[in-house]
This record gives sequence, structure tokens and C-alpha cells, in this order.
Amino acid sequence: MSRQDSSSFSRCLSGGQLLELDACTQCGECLKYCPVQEVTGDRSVSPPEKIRNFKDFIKKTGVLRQWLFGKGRIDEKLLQDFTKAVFECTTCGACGEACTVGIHTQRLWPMLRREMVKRGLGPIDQQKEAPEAVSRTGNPYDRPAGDRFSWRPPEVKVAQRANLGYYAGCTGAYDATPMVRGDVQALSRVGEPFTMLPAEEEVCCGFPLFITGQFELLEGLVKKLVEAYAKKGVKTLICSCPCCVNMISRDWPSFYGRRLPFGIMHISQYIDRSFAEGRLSVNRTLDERLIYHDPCYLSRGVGITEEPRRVLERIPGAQLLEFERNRVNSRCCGAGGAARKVFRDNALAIFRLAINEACEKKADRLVLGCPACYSIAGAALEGHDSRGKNGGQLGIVDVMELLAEVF
Amino acid sequence: MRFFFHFLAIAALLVYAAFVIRTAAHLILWMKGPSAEKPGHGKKPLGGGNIGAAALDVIFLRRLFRVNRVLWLGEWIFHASLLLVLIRHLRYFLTPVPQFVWQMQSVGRAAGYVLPFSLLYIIIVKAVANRGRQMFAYNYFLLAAFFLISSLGALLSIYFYPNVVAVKEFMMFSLDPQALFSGALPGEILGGFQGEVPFLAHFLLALALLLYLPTHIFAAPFTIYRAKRRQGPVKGDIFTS
Repeated sequence: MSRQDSSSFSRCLSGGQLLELDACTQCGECLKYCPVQEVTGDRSVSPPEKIRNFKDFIKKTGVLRQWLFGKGRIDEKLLQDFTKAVFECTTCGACGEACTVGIHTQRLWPMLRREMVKRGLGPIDQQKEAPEAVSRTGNPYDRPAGDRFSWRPPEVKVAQRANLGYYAGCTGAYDATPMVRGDVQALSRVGEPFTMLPAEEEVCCGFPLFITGQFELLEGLVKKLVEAYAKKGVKTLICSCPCCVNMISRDWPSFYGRRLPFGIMHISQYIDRSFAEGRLSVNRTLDERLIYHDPCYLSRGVGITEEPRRVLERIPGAQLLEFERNRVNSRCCGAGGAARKVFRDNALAIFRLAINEACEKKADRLVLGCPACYSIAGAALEGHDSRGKNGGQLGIVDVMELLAEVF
Repeated sequence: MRFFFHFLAIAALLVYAAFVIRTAAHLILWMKGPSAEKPGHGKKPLGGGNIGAAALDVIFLRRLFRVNRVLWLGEWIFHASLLLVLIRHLRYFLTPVPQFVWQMQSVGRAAGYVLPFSLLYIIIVKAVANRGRQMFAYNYFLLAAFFLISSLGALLSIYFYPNVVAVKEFMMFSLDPQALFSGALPGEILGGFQGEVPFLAHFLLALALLLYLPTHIFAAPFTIYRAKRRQGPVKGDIFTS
């Protein structure tokens, strides 16, 4: 029997998060919104079950309990099952949005993961490779740093120094290139000079490490990026990846140790503002029915829901449809939480739920706003056998990619 | 019999003490914050509106209303009735009894009759309408315990009529460690409690529930307030650190 780490399970949680664990009423309302529960039917992944188990772990390793009754032992199988459940989660936060007592689950799950990492139980499979890959190449996919901006159109001018900075992010740069290409084309069209870091210097924002509870490299990555943007005179950093925006705005200040020397903006905010200020216009019409999928970390993460819609509404002829669950209640695409590679079947099944609804609503194109969603869309469409029955080929496109089409 | 009631009073005091210790332990946990491990939360400025809106969320269970209106009806009636019943019960624990507690007696009595029906409604909605899919064992236990306690309470009020003077004497005795351990059990208690099995069952179940009282009673108002603060619409379009 292996020796168990007897330190308290509460060490990675803030007081507020411990309060959240105690606030859970086990009402189970969140179950209706959990995408993993929906496609697997596995109750062990459900939010109340994870909270109940983790509370038990805290109780068994509590100081008072250990003092009174000695060290409590937690069943190894239970720990392993819990680890799988907590890493299988997409961290979409839909459960937290539906939570009757307002638990911030999108933030709680990474901290539970952090605890399991500290105990040597997590992360799972490919998730373990991310820190080494980031150290080696600056991205969690272990792709050559020099290839990071190979998608950038030659006509796009990038300034050496500018008030405006653009951060592409790893998933966009390597796995969802039409999306980031659309970003820089839209930025170019606005005409305000913007700068980018050299390909070798634009490293991972830290989100994949943060979300898998592997914090060791975070401080170094954040400091390197913040200082590099500061050197380029950046006052506002623009990014399209919701996970990066979430990480930069919410967590970089903590890892940097002080206030960031620049603000952060999602690209849809910047483009929406540019339209409003008359700096941007659309020339072509698009006679299509579009359905916009709210990315979890953009809607529930940082509260941006209207700007992407306003941008799409600027396209003449385009008809904007809505999913039944939209904005902060949107359904997860299945690709988040660094789970899409380890639990690929779940991710595909979850994404297909969105595809089904888009087909039922007779959308011509499903409009995404997240590179993680984008990176799995193709595979989800490939195996989707009902799209023919539901009115033709459904296209997948990113907001900025679509905008670049109609300039 | 003297020994039994004395033992019961001591057991009650120990349960109260366990409840206080448990609550204090949770409070200590809630107040700690491992700063080195705690990432930033992008806090938004807090306005008076948020506090007011959070209070409304708590009072009217508005978050539940948003996700399940059928269940909300039962839950709101249950929580409101329980609060009124608890206020009515304060007369057994406080001397002198505050004026507002006297004023709430008839409302509290009516709420006591509503309480078991609201619980029955919740159990039916959860078990039948949702086919038990969302039901967790702890939830069943709590609902069943509250249902038994409240049903017995309603029966005490309309059928068994316990000697309330003896009940009050007993409660005050159980809250007074000095009297409790001096060995002097007031005569009113012994005289008044002969054959009070329904009351004893009601009281013992309530003691058992106190040990397992859900912590959300204290924690949820704070998490709801924090959620209100976090989930409000984004003001302006640039995030700054």
C-alpha cells in the first residue's frame, strides 16, 4: 500500500472556494447543463458528486480530525476515479451558471485539478506533456516556434512598436489558422498600427497549464510576455482566443505580481468599436443563415456576448440565428478544459449536439469564436451522419474569418 | 425517568456544542486564503445595487427560479415556512421572549402546517418529475428528515398538545450547563413530560438533523453575493488589471 500525502486537500483553495464547496446544496440542477454528463451519462463526473467527494477528502485530511483521530486514509480507487472525473470535465462553467447558489465552477475545477497534480495523481495522459512542450517550443502542441506565424498574410503590416498589440495564442496559431488570419486581416482593415511579438517570443499564455493545474511555469511565462509587450509600447493587447483573454485578464496580474502595464481587449470588442466609430465597413452582402456559438470562456468567462453578435449583424444580408441555449447559458463545444485530446470521443459527441441544433435550425454556417472549438469542428463534422438529412452541408467559420470574407 | 431526561438534556447540549464547533471550524476554513496558490479573480467594482440584487437573489431564490420554476415554488415555500417556524420556536429558547417572536406566533403556526406539504411537493417534483435523476442521497436524507420533523411538529400542534411549559423548562435547562451538571432536574419537566413520545421523537430528530445541518444555510448567501458581483454585465469594453 503506497504512502498517502496527508496534507490537507484544502491547501490549493481560497477561503471563498471553500465557502463554495460548503454552499453546494447537492440539488443536482446543474446536471442538466453538464455536457460531459449529457454525453456519457456518467454520474461520477457530475459537479455535485465531485464537490461531495472533495469535501470528504478535506474532512479526512483536516487538521482537527487528524489531531483527534489520526491520519485518515482515502480509498485509492476513489482518488483515481475522482482524478479522472475532474480531468474529464471541459471546465465550460455551464454548471456554475445554472448553480442555484452561484458556485464559480469554471474557476473551482482547475483548483481541484491543481490539488490532484500536487498529489501526483493528475494530469492525465497527453495533458502531462504540456509543460515540457511549452518549455521546449513555447506552445503546448510542441510545434516549431518558428512556424507560429506561418499563416500571416504577407500583405498584413505589423509595426515594430505600437499602442495596439495582437496576441494570436497557440491554438489559433497552430490549429485554427483561418481564425487568426481573419483577426489580422480585420485589424489591418481598421488601419490602426498594431504590433506582434516575434514568433519565437510569443509563447503560450499559460492557460493550458493553468487549466490542468500545472502552475510551475506560469510566473515565468507571464513575466516574459508582459515585459515583451511593454517593451513594444503596447497599451492595449488584443486577442481572439477566449481562453487567452480569460487568462490574461483574470490571472496574469496574479502571476505577474502587480497591475499589468496594458489593458486587454477581445477582438470582437475592438472590431465592434471600430464599426461604431466608422473606421470599418463591409462591402459585400452575404445571403446566409448564421448561427453563433458563444464560447464558454468568452461568455461565462469574461461576460462578452453581444459584441460578436453586433459584428455579425453588420454583414448585409446575413440572418443571425440563436441556439436554444445562448449567451451565458450556451452549450459547451466539448473542446475545452484540455480534455479534447484525452477524452476525444466526449468532445466529438458534445460538438455534434451543437451541429445537430444548427442543422435543425437550417443554418448555413455555424459561426465560432474560439480556436479550441474550431480545432475540433472539422473532426466532429466528418463523423456527423445526420447533416445530410437536415438540410445540407453545414459550414464552420470564425467570426473574423467570415468578416474578412466580406470586406 | 429522571436519568433519561437528564441524559437527554446533556445530549442536547453536546449537540448544540458540536454544531457551534462545526460551524466555527467551517468559518475558520472560509476565512483562510492561501495567497500563494490563489489566482486572481478579476474583481469588478461593487455597487450598492449588487448587494441589493444579491439580497433579492437570496430571499426569493431567484437563481433557482431561473433554472427550475416548478421546483422553485416548493423550495421557496419550504424555506420561507421554515424560517417562520424557526422564529416561532425561539420562544422555547429565549427568556424573556422578544416581542417580535410573540407577534410571529400565529404566522409561524400556519407556516408549520404548510411546511410538510411543501416538502412533499419537493420530494414529488424531484423524484417523479425528474425521475430521480438529479437526486443525491444526502438530498433524500435531508428532505426525509425535515418532512418527519415538520409532520410531527404539525401533529404536536393540532393533536398531541405537549406541555409547552415543560418543553420550555427543558430547553432552558439543556442550555444551562451549570444547572445541567448540578444534577437538579426541575420538577416541571418530569411532571410535564409523562408520555410525551411524539414530542421526544420530534426533538430527537431535530437534534440529529442539527448534526447534519447543511452548511449551505450559512455559505450560500455569500456565494450568491459573490456570483452577483462576478456575473454582472461587463461595464466598458477594456479589461484592465
